[in-house]
Amino acid sequence: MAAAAAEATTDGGGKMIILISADGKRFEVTEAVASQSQLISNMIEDDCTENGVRLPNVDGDILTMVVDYCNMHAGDAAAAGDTMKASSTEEELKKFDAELVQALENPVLFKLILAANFLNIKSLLDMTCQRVADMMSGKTPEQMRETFSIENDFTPEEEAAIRQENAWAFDD
Amino acid sequence: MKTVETTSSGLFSLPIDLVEEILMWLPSRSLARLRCTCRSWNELISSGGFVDRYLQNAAARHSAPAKLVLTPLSKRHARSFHAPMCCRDCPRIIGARPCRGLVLFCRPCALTYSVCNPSTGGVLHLPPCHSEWYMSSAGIGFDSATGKYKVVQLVDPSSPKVVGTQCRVLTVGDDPLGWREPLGEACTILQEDHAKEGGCIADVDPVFANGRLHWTLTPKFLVCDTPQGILAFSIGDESFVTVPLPPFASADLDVCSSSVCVATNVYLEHVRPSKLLPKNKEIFAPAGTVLAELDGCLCMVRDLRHRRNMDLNETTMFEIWKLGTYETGEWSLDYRIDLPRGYRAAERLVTPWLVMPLAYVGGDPASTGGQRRKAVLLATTAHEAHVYDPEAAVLHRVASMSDDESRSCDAAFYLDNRLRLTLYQESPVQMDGMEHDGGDAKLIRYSILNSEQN
Repeated sequence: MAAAAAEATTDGGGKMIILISADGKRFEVTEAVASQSQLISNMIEDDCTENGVRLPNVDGDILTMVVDYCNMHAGDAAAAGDTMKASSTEEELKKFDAELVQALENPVLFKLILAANFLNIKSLLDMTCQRVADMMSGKTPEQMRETFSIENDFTPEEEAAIRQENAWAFDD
Repeated sequence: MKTVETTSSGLFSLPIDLVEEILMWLPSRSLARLRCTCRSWNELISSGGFVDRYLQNAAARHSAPAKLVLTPLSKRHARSFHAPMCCRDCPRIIGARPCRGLVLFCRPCALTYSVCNPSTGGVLHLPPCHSEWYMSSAGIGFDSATGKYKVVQLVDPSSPKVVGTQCRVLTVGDDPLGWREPLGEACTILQEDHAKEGGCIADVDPVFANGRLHWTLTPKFLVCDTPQGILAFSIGDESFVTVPLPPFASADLDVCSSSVCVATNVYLEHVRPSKLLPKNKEIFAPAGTVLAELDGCLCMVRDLRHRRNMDLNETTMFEIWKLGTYETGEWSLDYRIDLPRGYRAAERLVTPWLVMPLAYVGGDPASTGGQRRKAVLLATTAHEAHVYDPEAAVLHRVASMSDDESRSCDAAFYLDNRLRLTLYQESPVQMDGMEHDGGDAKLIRYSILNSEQN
């Protein structure tokens, strides 16, 4: 069954690939969409995607987001030739990207980072890492500890010393 | 040591290389705050390896808009024509690019140097120099083997009893040793006749690339008629070697009488003080003697602006040549700055005596040919910065100190041969003993310009 589905083609002529998440959810995507992942792109080249690609590190809900992202961004290369189309698409993409990561809780965001890293999708990895960095900047050390569950293991003396050394970073 | 709890929202639940991926996006100010949260963060962020990766990562992001640090002329001195010449330079950032996140700056009238991280405003004052100098040229380099910064100074002592140019080295953060002789063999070139003529080593700052500081040996430096090469000082073993100049350098040297120089009056606006040679001849320096570091390579700028024998259809103003290896001294043409004749904005590159490429921007660094060609960020001694876009053959002015509040210093600009513009680099480098509240730090932090275009 899976093999038959993998052989199926869309109207655009792209070959279809089945991605299988850790919890057994199946996603059917075109080769063009899937090969934004360097990992899968290499597998396609090596011709080992026929029975579907098992992704034991990636949960179904995370893979849903990754597939959405890849579907949205698959047009990137195709649209590059047409400047008018590219600029409007670019705006849409930015909006889509912002909405994708905006509402995510830390644990989910971190899982998405892990998935982007495992699948080797550079643009998604950059975007998610940048999102975490944005959440950090402007925060005080106390707020950072709270947001990212960082335990303060300094002695009071050590903390006073390190804050003194970095005092310049606190005046706004 | 207690480690951070690996709860699912804890950052350390991620593998360390992914944690670093995230930190690469943080400015140095946020990194400093993060250091204050716990021991593990403090250790990671202050490690030399992290700093290296952070800087490499930032350098790889060519698309980010370039920022510049500028050191304006001191207003106090600019208003007074009686101030000693050197005071106009206080404080002055040396060089066009930071060295691994740090810049060197000097106060010539106080004979002192400091290192500064412009992204944090941290300043470390270096121990005072040994003796009075007449002319000096100093640069900062980084020894990746030991993880130490060194400041190297070539100096013409003011005492007539001392013959030759002296070289002094200071390992930053190693105060007890202070300024000392280099560990390597003495450089014979520096000891030769040069002292008789008086120094000219202060004209252009040295350039750091490939673990070495580079000075051009100008004709006057050696008291002979053609440039001899480049003096390269290895920061690691503290020895000198000479590197041959690219083939165009001696052929291009434009020796002419002063009357011809005056005839080309278009260049007089920011003209460099002439250097008299034997037989009363003048050289259109610095034709072919400007060094720069671009994409990690030592480069030399071929200055074609003032060629009298230039073909009328010739549109090339500058060529950038890249040094291949030190052993063979092979140079290759890397980049060309072409601007159509009659293009008004091009004048901004014609009048200043020095045009220094700071960095390649945009383009795809991985691709060679076929793809969109990279632009180049240029600083000039007219205290402006421009981005040259080779695709459209246009020049965008991205920063100008005359737009700044220092407009009142314009008069002094005519006497000023310094770039006063340095590439800004976000950098988490901190040194023991750095001060953050000094006057110099405020001056530098205040003057960070964003050269965002479009």
